[in-house]
Order: sequence, then structure tokens, then C-alpha cells
Amino acid sequence: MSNIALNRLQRECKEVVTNSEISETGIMIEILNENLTEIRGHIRGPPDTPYAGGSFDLDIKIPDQYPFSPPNVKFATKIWHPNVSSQTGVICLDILKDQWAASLTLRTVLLSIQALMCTPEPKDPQDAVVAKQYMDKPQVFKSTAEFWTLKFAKGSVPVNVDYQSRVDKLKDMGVREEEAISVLSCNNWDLNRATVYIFS
Amino acid sequence: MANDSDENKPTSTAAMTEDDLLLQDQQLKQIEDEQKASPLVGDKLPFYALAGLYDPVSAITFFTKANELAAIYSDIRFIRGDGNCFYRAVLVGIVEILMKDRERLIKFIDTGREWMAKLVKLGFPDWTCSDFCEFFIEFLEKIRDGKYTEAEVFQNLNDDGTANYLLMYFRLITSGFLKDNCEEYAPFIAEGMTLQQYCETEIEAMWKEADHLSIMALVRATGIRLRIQYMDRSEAPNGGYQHDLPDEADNVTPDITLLYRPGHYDLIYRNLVAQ
Repeated sequence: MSNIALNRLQRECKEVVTNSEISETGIMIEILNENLTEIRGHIRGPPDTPYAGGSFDLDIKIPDQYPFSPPNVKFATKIWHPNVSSQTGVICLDILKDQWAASLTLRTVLLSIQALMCTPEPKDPQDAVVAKQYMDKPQVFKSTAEFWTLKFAKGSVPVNVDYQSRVDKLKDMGVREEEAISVLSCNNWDLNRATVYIFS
Repeated sequence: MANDSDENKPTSTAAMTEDDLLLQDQQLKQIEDEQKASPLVGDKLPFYALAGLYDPVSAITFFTKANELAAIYSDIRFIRGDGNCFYRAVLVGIVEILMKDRERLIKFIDTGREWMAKLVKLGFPDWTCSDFCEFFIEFLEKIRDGKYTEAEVFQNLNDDGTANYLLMYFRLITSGFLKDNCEEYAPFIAEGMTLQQYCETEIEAMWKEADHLSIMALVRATGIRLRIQYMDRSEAPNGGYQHDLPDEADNVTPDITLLYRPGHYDLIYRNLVAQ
């Protein structure tokens, strides 16, 4: 990365840190290495969404061609959202791809991701299973996303006892909790189908 | 026929799998490596270097045309074909003029400052856009103050880190010009897109090729006189093989002449002896 890009990036980081963003919008960044190629982003789950109260981490990698190429951003915290891969955290967001402009900043990226958490775009999904559930069974989607927020993003909603008991049943069969949650979520919490999926 | 295939096109793009993305990355990397084999801005070469690119038998049309043009043009600078070629060719052409014309250089610096204020007023993201403008202005100021030799200027133009910032200035003012003259230009935007979207996705995005609208906008935003010399099988919009912008003025010597071959622009120079 050129010096000028590095200077700009420092300014971008400052822009987030000093803008009293944490209290107002709940976005934050943390620099992981000196040459600023790896940055950790934090987004507080927006209120009135299934992500409320959760604390979401993002891995941000800055490419050589920054700011002319977009930063590579994905969720490090597992999240149940139509535009985010429930497996890898990869995000489907236009400004991280072909709508990127060199005048955008890390702050705009994080705010855009936060906005995406408020307003999913199920017609342009990253995770087809989540998107289908979002459209066909909105109630199941909501409680699943809340359950994930509680489990993976230190959310504060009361645990869904019904879901937890199904997870525990799979755990009793020797399945890791993370896998149990993932497979149950993908099968609309049908314990039989999840069991068949795992053991067949 | 064309309509048939349009109807069959999927209207929404499905999410790509990780494998697709990986494959796409590899392909992009390969294309990028091939591009990087040539410099961003080539040295000034004798114009007949162009004819040397074509086989006299299998590419007779281009070979003949290149030889015809060699009677009018003496030199050529090949520009890297990375989607930035139009903006880069204009950048280099303008910098060459400004290195020789101090008065114009000073004026161009002032225009740069005006654009910086205007872009912010037009609603461009404040400090990032100003950064690009300031970088461009500083670059010109160093030329003005004799801090760069000509060789150093070209070193900068050939350095990705520097050149991208200079190109971005041109992309921003191209976009700014269209936004500032929205009423005049909005009717030329293809259906299904607003002028704002067009500017953001087609102009402000690096490595996106310029089309006729963005070419016109940059010419008017910079106030240069541009000639495009066509070397494809088609003819220029005025029916000839060359096209002058901003308008077809009689006997006005262009500041910059670009050679257009399908999908690509290079910078060419008129043979002054022959005139």
C-alpha cells in the first residue's frame, strides 16, 4: 500500500473512533496490525431487529489497491441473515462489490452493513436457505436470528427454551453445539429432519 | 434476435458460491497479471510501431489503416488497457501540455481548487473527495515549482499508487460535471438507471471504461480540445474517421489526440513537420 493510502486509512480509522459513534450508532473499529491491512470492526445490533443487543465482530482486510478496490469485509461473529453466509460470514452488499467508490470510507461501510441488518434484501441473498426462511416463515426467521444473536453475539434476549432443548438433544447425541444450531436452523427447527441430515 | 436473448436473460443475479468467487478471483488475477506486463504509460514511440502490431495478411484492414495514419501522426504512447485508458491518456496528454505551458498550468491549478469546492457542494463525500483534488493540485504545484524533472513526472504517472489518485480526480470531475448539468445530460442515461447511479457505477468506479457521455463530460470539465482518431471499421459520429470534442470546430488544432481502437485509447501526436 502506498503512503498516501496509509495516511488516508489512518484518517478513516480516526473518523470512526473519534466520532462518538459508539454511543450514537454503535460502530467501532480496532486496528490489528501496524500497516493497517487487518482491522476488526464492531457493530452493535440495531434496536427493533432480531440482532438487538448483540455485539457483532467483522474481519476487515484492506487490499493493496485500497481505496480503489473495496475492503474485504465479512462477519467474524456468526449471524442469521439473508445477505450473510451463515457458514462463512461473507456479506452480499453492493458497495463491497461493484458499487464501491474510492470516496467511501470504513465508516460508510460499517454503517451500510448496520443498515443491511435492519433491512435485509432477500431477493439478492447470500444465503439462500436463510432467505427462503425469511420469506416463507418470517416468525421462524425472527426467532432463529434472535437465538443466533443470543448464542453467538452475546445478545440479551431470553433464551428460546424450545430451541435450546432441541439443541441439547443433538448435543446429547455428540453433535457440537454450533453445528446443532446451524443444522436445526436450516431445517426450520425440525429435530427429526436435522437428525437425519446429520447422521445419514 | 437480439430481443430474444434479452428476454431470456435472468433478471436477478443469484448469489455466487465460494467456488465461483474463487474461480472468478483466479481469472481476474490472470487478466491483471497480463495487463501488468505493460507499463501504465508507455514511452513515446515512432508511430509505425503501431503498424508493427498487425499482420499484413490476416489483419490487412488495421495494418493498412495504421500505415495511412503514419503519414499524419509521428508518435504514439501506448496506454495500459485496464479500463482506465481513456482517463489515463487524457491525464498524460494534459500533464504534457501543462509542463510546457506555465500560464495554462496555473489556470489548471485554480480550476482544480474550484472543482474541489464544487464537488463538496454537489454532495460528494467531503474529505475523501477533497483528498483526491488536493493530491492532484499538489502534483501540479510541484511541476509549477520545478520540484519534478520530466522524468520524475513520468515516474509518478507510471506508479500505480500515485497515478490512481490523479485518475480519480478526473473521474470525480467527470462525474461532478454531469451531476452539475443533470438536466442536460439525464436524457442520455440508459433506461433503468439514474444519472446519479450512472455516475457512481460507471464513472467514479475505478477501472470502468469511459463511454461517449463520460468522454464529453471530461472534455467539458477540463476545457480541453480533444480529437479522437478512429481506427476501427466504423466511422466517427460525424461521418469521418475522426471526431473533435467539445464540438467540430473548423481548423482548430486539438490539444490532445487519442487513437481509438475497439475498446481502447492510446495517446498519439501529430507529425509537425508534415503540416
